[in-house]
Amino acid sequence: MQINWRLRELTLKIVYYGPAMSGKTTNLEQIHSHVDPLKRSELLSLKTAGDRTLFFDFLQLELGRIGTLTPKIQLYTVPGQTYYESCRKVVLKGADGVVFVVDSDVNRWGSNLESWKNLFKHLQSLRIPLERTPIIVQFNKQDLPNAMSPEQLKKLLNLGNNAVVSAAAIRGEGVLDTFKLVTRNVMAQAQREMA
Amino acid sequence: MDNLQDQDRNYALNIRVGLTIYPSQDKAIEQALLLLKDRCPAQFILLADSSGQLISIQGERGSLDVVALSALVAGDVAASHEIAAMTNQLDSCQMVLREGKKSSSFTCEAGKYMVLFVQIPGETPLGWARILIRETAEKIAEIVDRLPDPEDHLAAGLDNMPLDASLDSAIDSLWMG
Ligand SMILES: Nc1nc2c(ncn2[C@@H]2O[C@H](COP(=O)(O)OP(=O)(O)OP(=O)(O)O)[C@@H](O)[C@H]2O)c(=O)[nH]1
Ligand SMILES: [Mg+2]
Repeated sequence: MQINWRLRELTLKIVYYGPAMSGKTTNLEQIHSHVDPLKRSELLSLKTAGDRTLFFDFLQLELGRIGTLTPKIQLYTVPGQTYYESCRKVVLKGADGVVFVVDSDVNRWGSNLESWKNLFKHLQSLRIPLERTPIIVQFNKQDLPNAMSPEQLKKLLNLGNNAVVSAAAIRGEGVLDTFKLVTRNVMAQAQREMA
Repeated sequence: MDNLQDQDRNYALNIRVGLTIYPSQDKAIEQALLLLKDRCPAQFILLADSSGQLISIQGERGSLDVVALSALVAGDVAASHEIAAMTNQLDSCQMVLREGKKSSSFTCEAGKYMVLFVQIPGETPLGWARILIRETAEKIAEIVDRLPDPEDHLAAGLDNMPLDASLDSAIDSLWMG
């Protein structure tokens, strides 16, 4: 979170986290293609030749004036592949909120679980306070015939109070709902911290 | 006045990780960057916070995408910080040089919370630039560590922000369908 009182700008950082190939980049691509170009930056992608995220994707959105401030929302994705561990940590730094993108494919349950644990490990080592950082869980790829159901996934990840959204990001389904939910939560948290 | 400062200290403590820049600090930062630009001389300077949020620029930006550049510079500095930590070279001010024929650029940390990118013309001596940049980085870190001026006390306004309806409609209006 950054606040510039002269420009009356509030900038918030949201990170899309999750296992390799779960659809994090797809979420940002969908947002990029549906948002008015005047209200967003270009999508910046640091990727390998095979279109896998190497470092991060980045997209900034401007919400226009709300109250007396102009909030800017920055969206980042992390690289999901296991060996980019150190890059994930770097991208998570300073996050105000997280979207955990689950791959609902039943064969991917182990990767989801590993990545979920990995997220908390990094949040802890970066001293990001859990109780003040909204984490939204997106059950992506619900369109797959072998997708695990939201109930099964909730059990798998042992989800407590986390807000969840079902999605098929590739078709744009659930993408806006996820973004709305995380933005709302992050803004509410910012408001609480400044009150 | 004491009272104001106490309030402000509390206020600052409430806000985690990130950075709050008050008008007086913003002005001081702008001056520090301008001074660096003239003394170096530098073509272009960008200051962002360490999570990639743009704070200030000086010089000719042309068609440069400064939002993207901020994210990249922060990623770059964070990555080189990790490299330094892994290879036991961690210093208080990490500085990376990109040397070119027409121009060169430095990226470095400015205190714990900010990153600085400075592009200089090819003919500027690198050693000279390095000293000035390091000085400026330290000065900027010091500026944001300062308590805000009493005049910075303003109607904060965020707590009056109508979150519910107006936030939702702001998000909805981003979407083109
Ligand atoms: N069936 C289906 N496929 C999807 C969905 N969302 C994304 N995909 C596909 O999954 C693959 C990986 O998507 P990405 O968005 O690149 O995944 P990522 O999470 O960014 O992957 P990394 O960058 O490697 O961590 C692509 O082939 C997408 O087309 C979905 O909702 N359903
Ligand atoms: Mg990706």
